[in-house]
Amino acid sequence: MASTLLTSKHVAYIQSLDTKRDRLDYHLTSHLRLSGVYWGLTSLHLLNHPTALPRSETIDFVKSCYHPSSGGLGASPGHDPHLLYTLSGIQILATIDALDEIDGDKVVEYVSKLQNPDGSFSGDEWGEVDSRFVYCALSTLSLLGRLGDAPGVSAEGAVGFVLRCLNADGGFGMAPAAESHAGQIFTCVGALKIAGVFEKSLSEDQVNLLGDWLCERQLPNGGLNGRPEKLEDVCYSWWVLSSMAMIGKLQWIDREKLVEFILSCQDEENGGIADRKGDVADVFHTVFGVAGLSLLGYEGLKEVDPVYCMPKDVTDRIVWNHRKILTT
Amino acid sequence: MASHGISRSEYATQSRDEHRRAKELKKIEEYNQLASTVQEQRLATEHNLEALEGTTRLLRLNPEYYTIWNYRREILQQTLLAKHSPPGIALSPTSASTRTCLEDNEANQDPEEVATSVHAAYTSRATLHLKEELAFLLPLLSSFPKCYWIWNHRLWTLQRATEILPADKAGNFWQEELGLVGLMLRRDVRNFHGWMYRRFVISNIEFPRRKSLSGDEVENSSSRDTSLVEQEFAYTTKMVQGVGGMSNYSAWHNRSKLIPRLLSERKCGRQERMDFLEDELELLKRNISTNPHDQSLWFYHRWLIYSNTITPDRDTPNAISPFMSRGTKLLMLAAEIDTLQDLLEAHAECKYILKALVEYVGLLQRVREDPRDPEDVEEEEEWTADDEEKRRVDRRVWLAKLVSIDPMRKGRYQEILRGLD
Repeated sequence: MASTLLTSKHVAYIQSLDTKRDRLDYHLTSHLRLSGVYWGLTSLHLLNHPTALPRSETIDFVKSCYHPSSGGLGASPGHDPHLLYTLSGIQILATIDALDEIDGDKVVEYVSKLQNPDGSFSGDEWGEVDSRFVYCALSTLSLLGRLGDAPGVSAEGAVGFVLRCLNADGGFGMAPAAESHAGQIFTCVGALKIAGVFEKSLSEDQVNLLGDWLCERQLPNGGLNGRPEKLEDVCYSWWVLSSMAMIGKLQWIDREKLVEFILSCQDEENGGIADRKGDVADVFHTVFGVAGLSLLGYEGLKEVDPVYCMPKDVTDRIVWNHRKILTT
Repeated sequence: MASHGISRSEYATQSRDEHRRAKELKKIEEYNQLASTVQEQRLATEHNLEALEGTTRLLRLNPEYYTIWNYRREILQQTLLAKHSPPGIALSPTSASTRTCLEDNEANQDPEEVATSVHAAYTSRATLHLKEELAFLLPLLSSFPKCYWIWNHRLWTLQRATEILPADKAGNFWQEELGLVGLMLRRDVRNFHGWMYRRFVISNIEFPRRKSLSGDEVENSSSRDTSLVEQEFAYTTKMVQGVGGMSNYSAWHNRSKLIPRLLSERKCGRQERMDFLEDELELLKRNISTNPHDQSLWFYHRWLIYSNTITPDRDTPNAISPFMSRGTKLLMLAAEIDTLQDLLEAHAECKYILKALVEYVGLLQRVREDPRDPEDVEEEEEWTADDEEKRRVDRRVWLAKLVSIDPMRKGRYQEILRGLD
């Protein structure tokens, strides 16, 4: 079992992803492709191999997913626009400093049209509502530097909706009354952080309850699960851990055991990280494993921003260094 | 690209098997051919039954292909599930025979009657097509119970029923859906899509004209004639009492969300609320003593304790018993702490008991510091500085024990310990 991070294997694995057209999985996952590029690119940046994917081809691919009529991005060329992929596209362009390659105003227009009167956001014109989409909207707008002045967007309304997803156990669900789930906690805490209102929105009791719920996700094998009485999975090394980082409670879990767990899920032969030890690796679990290790201060990795899941130097440059705190 | 639970060795074996590889390449070709045909039909905005059939085949192969679900809805809106249109405009090629029959009628009947019978024919056809759509989704949902897009499409289909059918007919669809969601939750009692979906279905039965998906109440839903809160509460009782039900945090969670509404609809007074709280605490006590290592129970127990001791917002009471006096709160906490201390004797190594003790003793201290309620007439036991010191020592001992038996979370316990100094 690998006891160190197999950086060069992971870099080679990510570079090889677009060459696997002889596998059915490749074709069955075209509905995720743009997010896949974001996961791969972010992994490479955190692994300190920022130029391992060709820059101009990356930009071309993002642009090929853009719908000029609506301003949104789809997962692949010919796929419909959706907030999930709009965020992935903007994250990619932000990371490689190419935001000027896209019509930011038009993207803002797309995002703003998806806000509902109750403050929530729909994922696309078909109307699915989920607290994840509030995160996608606020993250996209803030990366475009338009959080404070997106016409028609009510950040206060969005915050109000997120707070209605808060549960008595300190966690957040996908909608009001829905059960707390680590993935939704990441998006809801992240949305409140992006809006600059987290600290004044939750009481000390609520933060402690949330921290307790999160630290109880660590299982005896060191891995984290996403809800009580469920199995561990590497992706929760991100959803749980980033939330703990955002509320300043990273020290409430066992760092060494989690590092050991993530490393044990690496594919030592072909690179990449899997959900669990011995399973097939994929780029989704690779980025969340690597990003988790970065939050844990693993040697040789670039610092990740727990709010954006992007390299911290990128978000500092684009967001934090010149942000306008919202007045709500 | 985002796989869960696929064994690496199995995958590698499959990859080496030449016969399987050849089959896989053939599948790729077939899949890509179908996908490009459907995409081309979409670009040509073909909204007909042949295109619908293409989406059926493609979505069976890949239900994650969200764009194709969108296309399917576009087709359905124009064809089988189009809104009622005046006679003479074909709904779909399959309705040709019905149309001929209607046209024959038109010649002999009075226009109002014709309109009524046309509408009835439309309703029965639309009902049939809605049922077919739901039947197409059922096996997909069973094979891919975590696929967001299938759940969304199912919800869209039911909402379409609300849009195109008379209210009573649409209501039947939502009612029947409760049966399905019950089945799904029996197969996977924690499926959060299933629970979320159940709440949607329930609220659509309770508020038939509601359109909002976000869980928010819509203005015009004033006629609450069919509250299902009693039924849903009973459902959570059944769930937590079934095999392994105790660990079903999803059911406990839903229970905690239903109780405030349940009590308000029952118009419970103070005493009834107190009794209800005692019954819940008793239920938890029984469960916890059976399995003190179950997190789900402790989260629910904590909700009961916290929401009823830390002064709740009296305008929107989430507490079971929001008007408890300071004295009553102290009595309840003291009783719970006693119970836990007894339990600790039987399970000295159970971290959850220790954690709860640390927390509830802390809460007791906070409630004690609350101003005394003028209307609180209950006698209070005397509380001295010695008692307080003893409680502090207890908490230190418990926390030290927690650091040793649950070292993964020692950072948490040490932080509380520092706060006690």
